[in-house]
Amino acid sequence: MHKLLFIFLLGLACTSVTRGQTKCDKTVSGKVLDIASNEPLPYVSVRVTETNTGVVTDQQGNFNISGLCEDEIHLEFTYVGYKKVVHHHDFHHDIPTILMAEEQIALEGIVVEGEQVRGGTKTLSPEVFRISELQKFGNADMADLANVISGLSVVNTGQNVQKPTLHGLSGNRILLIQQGIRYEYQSWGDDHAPGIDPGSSSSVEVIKGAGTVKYGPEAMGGVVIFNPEPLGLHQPLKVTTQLSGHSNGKGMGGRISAQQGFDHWSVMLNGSGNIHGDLSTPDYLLTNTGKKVWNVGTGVLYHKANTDIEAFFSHNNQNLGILRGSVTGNLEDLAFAMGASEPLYTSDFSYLINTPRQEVVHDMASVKGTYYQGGHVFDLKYSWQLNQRKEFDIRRGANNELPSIDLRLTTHTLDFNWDHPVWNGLDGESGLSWLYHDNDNQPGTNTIPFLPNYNDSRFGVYAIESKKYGNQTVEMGLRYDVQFTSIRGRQINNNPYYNDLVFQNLTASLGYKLKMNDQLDFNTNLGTSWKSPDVSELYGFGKHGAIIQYGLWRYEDSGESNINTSTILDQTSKPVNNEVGYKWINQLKWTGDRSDWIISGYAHVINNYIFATPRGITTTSRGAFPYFIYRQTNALIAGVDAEMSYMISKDMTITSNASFVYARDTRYQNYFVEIPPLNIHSQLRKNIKGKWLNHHLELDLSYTFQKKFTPGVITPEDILEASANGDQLFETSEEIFDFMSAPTGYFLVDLGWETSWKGYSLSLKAENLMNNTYRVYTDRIRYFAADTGINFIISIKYSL
Amino acid sequence: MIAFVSCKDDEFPPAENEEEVITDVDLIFNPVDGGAPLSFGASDPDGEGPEDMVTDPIVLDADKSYQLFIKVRNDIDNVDMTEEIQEEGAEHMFFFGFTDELFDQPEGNGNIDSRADQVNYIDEDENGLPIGLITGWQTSSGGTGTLRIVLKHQPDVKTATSGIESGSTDIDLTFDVTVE
Repeated sequence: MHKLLFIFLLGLACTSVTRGQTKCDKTVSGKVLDIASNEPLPYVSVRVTETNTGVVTDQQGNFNISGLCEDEIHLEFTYVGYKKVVHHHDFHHDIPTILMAEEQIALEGIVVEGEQVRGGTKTLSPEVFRISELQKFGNADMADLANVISGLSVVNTGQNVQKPTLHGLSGNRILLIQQGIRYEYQSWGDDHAPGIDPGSSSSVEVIKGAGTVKYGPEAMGGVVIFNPEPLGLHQPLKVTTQLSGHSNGKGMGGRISAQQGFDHWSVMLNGSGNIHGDLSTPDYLLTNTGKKVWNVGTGVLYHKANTDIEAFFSHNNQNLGILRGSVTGNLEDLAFAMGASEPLYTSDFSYLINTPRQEVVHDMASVKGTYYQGGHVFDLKYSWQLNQRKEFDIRRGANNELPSIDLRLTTHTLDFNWDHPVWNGLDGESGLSWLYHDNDNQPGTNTIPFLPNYNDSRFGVYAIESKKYGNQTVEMGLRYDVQFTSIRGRQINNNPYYNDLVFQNLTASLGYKLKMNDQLDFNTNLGTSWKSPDVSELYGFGKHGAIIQYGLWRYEDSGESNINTSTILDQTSKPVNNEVGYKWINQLKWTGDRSDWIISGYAHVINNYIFATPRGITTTSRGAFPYFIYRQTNALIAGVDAEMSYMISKDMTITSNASFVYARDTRYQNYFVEIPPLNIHSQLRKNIKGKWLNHHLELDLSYTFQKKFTPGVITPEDILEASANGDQLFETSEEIFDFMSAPTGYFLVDLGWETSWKGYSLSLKAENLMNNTYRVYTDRIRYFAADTGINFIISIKYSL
Repeated sequence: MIAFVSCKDDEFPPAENEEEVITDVDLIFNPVDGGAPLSFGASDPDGEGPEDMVTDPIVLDADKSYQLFIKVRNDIDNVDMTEEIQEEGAEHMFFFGFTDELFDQPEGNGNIDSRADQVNYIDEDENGLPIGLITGWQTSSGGTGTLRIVLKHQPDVKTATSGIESGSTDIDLTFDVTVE
C-alpha cells in the first residue's frame, strides 16, 4: 500500500510540471462577513498585494476583482475597527468567504473556502456549526453540540459516556468523520462512546440524509463531520490558550493550539486536557463519575502549484468513571438500586476513578494528496486508526484489576475521489474506497470474550452527478459495496468456531433542489443505505449489565418455551440479510435580512433492522435474568427538525431549535427504547459594546418533554415474581420493555457572560442555574440517579 | 487489490479461564459426630445460556448437628472459585434464609430478611467478620421447607451490619429441604 501511495505521489510530481500558459483572464470573487454576527460587511478594502490593485465590498459584502494574471495571489482585507486578514488564494480553490473579527474581540478572522465545507452533495447540504461559538465557556462536549444542532442528540451512560444520535439512530447506523476519515470504534455497545473531542475541531457539519452513496455503509441516519482547523498559507503565528474550571466535579480543563502558515506550507498543533472528580446532583454525589481525558493533534499542509498534501495525526486518551451504584449483580440488586433514594455506594467526593470504568485510546493518522488540473480535483487519502478499548467491571479479587473487555480495532482506509468540472451541464464526482478492519480480543481478561475476533475488507465504488436546469438542480448517485468478513471466536467451553462471510449491496440516491427565490430554497433527497449485520449482532453471547443477550447466530428458536444455544449457526441455517434503509428528507430553508430558518421533515424505513428483544427468563447461579435475543424486524423512523434565528437588533439575536422523532417497530408493533423525546431549545444572545471592554451575554432556555410513544414497563420485581411463579412473561410476545417509565419533562436554564479586551477574554457561565433535579430519558444512569445539578464554569482565554 | 483481500489474519481469540460465571455450587453437610458427608449440588451446565439452574433436593437427618461447607466452581472450564472467595473474604459474605421449622439452630428464619438474625458462622475474614463458607446447623425433629443461599460481593461496604442490600450478587440459590 505504501508503494501505491508513493507511485501516486510520483504521478502528481510528474504531471504538475506540465502547466498551461499564464493568461490575464483570472477573476477572484468572494464575500466578507462579520465573524460574530455573520452579517455582511460593506466597504471593506480588498487589495491584491502582488499587483497593488484593489476594490471595496458592496452592500452585501461581495467583491470581485478581474483581469488577474498570476496563478496565486494574496488578498489583504482591511476595515476600520477590524483585524486585518490576509488570504492566500489560488485559482484552483473555491470562492472564499472571509469572516472578519473586530479588534476588541478574542476571535481571529478566518477564511472559509468552499471546499472546506463540501461534506454533503448538491442536494444534501450539511448544516455547519462553528465550534468557537460553543468553546467560549470551556470545553465543548457532544451534549453541548446536541443542544444547538437540531436532530442531533446523545445517548449517555452518565455524563462521561456520550454517544451521538442522529434522527434516532446511533452507533453503527450513523457515520462520524474526523480529519476527513471515517471514525472507526467499537460502535456496537450503547455504552461505547467515540473518543472525539469536539473542541479540537473548528467546525461540525451534519448531513441529515442517508449519506451512504458518498460515504459508504453505515451512514444510514446521516453523517456528522468534525473538521480540523483549516490550514492556511501565509498566516502569522496564531496561538490560543484557554484554561477553565468548573464547580460541579471540581474540574479543570486546558487547551492550547498554535498555527502558522508559510509560503508553501502550514502547520497546526493542538492539545487539550480535562479532569474532574465525582459529579453531583442537587441532592447527592455521584460516586465514581470522575474523568481524565487528554488529546493531542497535529496537521501539516504542503502546497505547491496544483498540489496540496495534508497530513494529520491525533491521539485521544480517555479514562472514564461510571457511577458505582449503577452496577448490579442480579435483578434483585437492580430492584434495590432502582428503589434507593440515593445511589448505593455513595461516598465522599473523590477524584479517584475505580471500577466500573473504561479506558479508551484512539490514534488516528492520515495523509491526503489533492491535485487540481483544469477544473478536475483528484483526492487520494490513506488513513490508519487504532482504537483500544478496555472495560473494567467490578470483579472478584485480582480480576478487579483486569479488563473484562479488552479489544483492539485497527483500521486502514484508502480512498480515491475525482471531482470533475462541469461537462455538458453535468457536475459530479466519483471514486473508489477500500477499508480494512482487524478487531482482536487481547488475552488476559479471565472471561470468555463477548465478541469473536474478526477482519473485514470492504471495497466500494461510487458516482454522483448533478445537472442544473435554471433554478433547479437534479442529482443522482449510485454506489456498490462488497465486504468480506472473517470470524474467529470461542464458545463458552473455549471450543473455537469460525466463519467467512460476504456482504454486498447496491445503493442509490436521488435528489432535487429548487431555488425559489433569493431567500427560499427547497431540497429533497431520497437515499438508500445499508449496513451488514454487526459481529455483535450475530455472535454476541452472555451477560451485559442486568440482561443476557444472544446474537442472531447464537440461538435457535423453535417457538417453544426455551431457546437452544448449544450450536453456532450460519447463513445457511439462519439467513441474516443486510439492513437496508430508505430515507426521504425534505428541507425548506429561508435566508432573510433579519431571520433565517430551516425546517426538515423526514421518513426513514429500515428493513431487516436488527434489534434485541426479550425472549424469556433464565435462572443462573446469580438468580433470575431476562434474556434478550437479536431479531430482524422493520423499523419506521419519522420526524421533524426546525431551526430559526431572528435578529432583534444589531446586537441581539434569538435562535431556537426543536426536534421530534417517532420510531416504531412496524413488524412486531412496538416502540423502540432510547429514542430522544421532544426538545425545544432557545438562546438569546446580546452583545454590549463598552468603551474599553466588549460584553457578550447568552441565555439558554430548554424544555424537554416526557417521552411519548414508549414501550411498556416491566419492573425487575415483575420479572422476579414471574420467575418464582413460573409465569411466561416474554415467551408469547415480542414486546420490547423498559425497567422504568420515562422521566417527566424538565426545564433547564443556562446563563453565560463573556467579556473581552484585545486578545484576552474571560467568561463565566452557570449551567442548570435553577439547580433542578431531572432525569434524562436517553441516559442509562437514569434508573439509578438524577442528572447533574448546578455547575459554574469560569474560563480565561488568550490569543496572540 | 488481491493483496488487500488476502491480508487477513486467522487468529482465534486466546482461550480464557472463565472466572466470572459460576456453573456449580455444592453444599456439603458434614455430620459433626462422624458419619458420611451429604453432598447436594446446584448446576447450570450452560452458564449464561438459557437453560435454568437445577438444584438437588436436600434431605437431612433429624436432630443432628452438621457443618455446612460450600464449594463454588465453573465446571465448563474447570475453575474452582472457593479458595478465591476465602482469600477475598473481607469482600464476601454468604447470607442464609430458611423455613423456621427445619432447624433448631440457628433459630428463626435466617439473616436474609434481617442481618441481625442468627446464623452460626464458623469461618471469619481478616477483620473478624463472618464469611459463611463454613456454617453450623442443628436440624429439627422433622419438617419440609426451603433454604436460600446468597453470596454477596461487598468490596469496601462489608461491615458488621451490612446485609443483603449491600454489594452485588454472585450467587442466589434456593433449595428444597426435607428433614426426616
